Amino acid sequence: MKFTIVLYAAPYSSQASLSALRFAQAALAQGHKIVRVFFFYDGVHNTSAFSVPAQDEYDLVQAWNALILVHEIDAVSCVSSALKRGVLDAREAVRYERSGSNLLESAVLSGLGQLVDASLISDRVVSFGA
Amino acid sequence: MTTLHTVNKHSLNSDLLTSCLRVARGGDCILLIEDGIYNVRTLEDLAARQGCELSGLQCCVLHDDLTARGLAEKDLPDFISAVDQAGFVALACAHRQSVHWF
Repeated sequence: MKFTIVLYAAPYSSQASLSALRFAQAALAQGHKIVRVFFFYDGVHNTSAFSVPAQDEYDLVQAWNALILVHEIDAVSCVSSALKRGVLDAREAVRYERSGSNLLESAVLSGLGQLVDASLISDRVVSFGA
Repeated sequence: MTTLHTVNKHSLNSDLLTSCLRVARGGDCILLIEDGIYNVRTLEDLAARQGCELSGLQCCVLHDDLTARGLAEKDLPDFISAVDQAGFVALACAHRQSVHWF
């Protein structure tokens, strides 16, 4: 079955990011396909490579990064949510004259159309929020 | 067409469970996750008042979140079952649509 996962919540602020990650891992373990992970609203913080948790804490952002890379999942951070929360890729950093970019290497910035598209081509859309 | 509902907050802090129960129909499944686990007692009280299970609803809790809150399967009433992460995925597959209350 094809899944789309939508994550509305930032890591560490609530349990939602970990819940979504565990669901994704379980779905993949059962042989399902994750068509897209869409990071929306505060969920875009899951795609900030500048996140540095303490050494004895679970690194949620890198866990997402690894899952996305290993399983070649399409990961989209909502561009309007991301820019206003300070999550930029190199192109946006140049465009808006910011000193650096921090979007996770495994994610891309794109628009809501990607969520609509994912909904259309998935069998199930599962959302997690705070 | 049946629906999977997930609820992730305690009814003391939100009206998510009330809203969910208002729209849930027979054959639907309510899965309590995260702090939604604490709604077990609320559902138990509701079921006792109605004198039956909740209108043909399937009620489940996510096992990891249950134990993380110091509860165990033996604490659950008969009409609520615990599912693991694979069970969560299976519920999402079994119901054609899902509503996530958060």
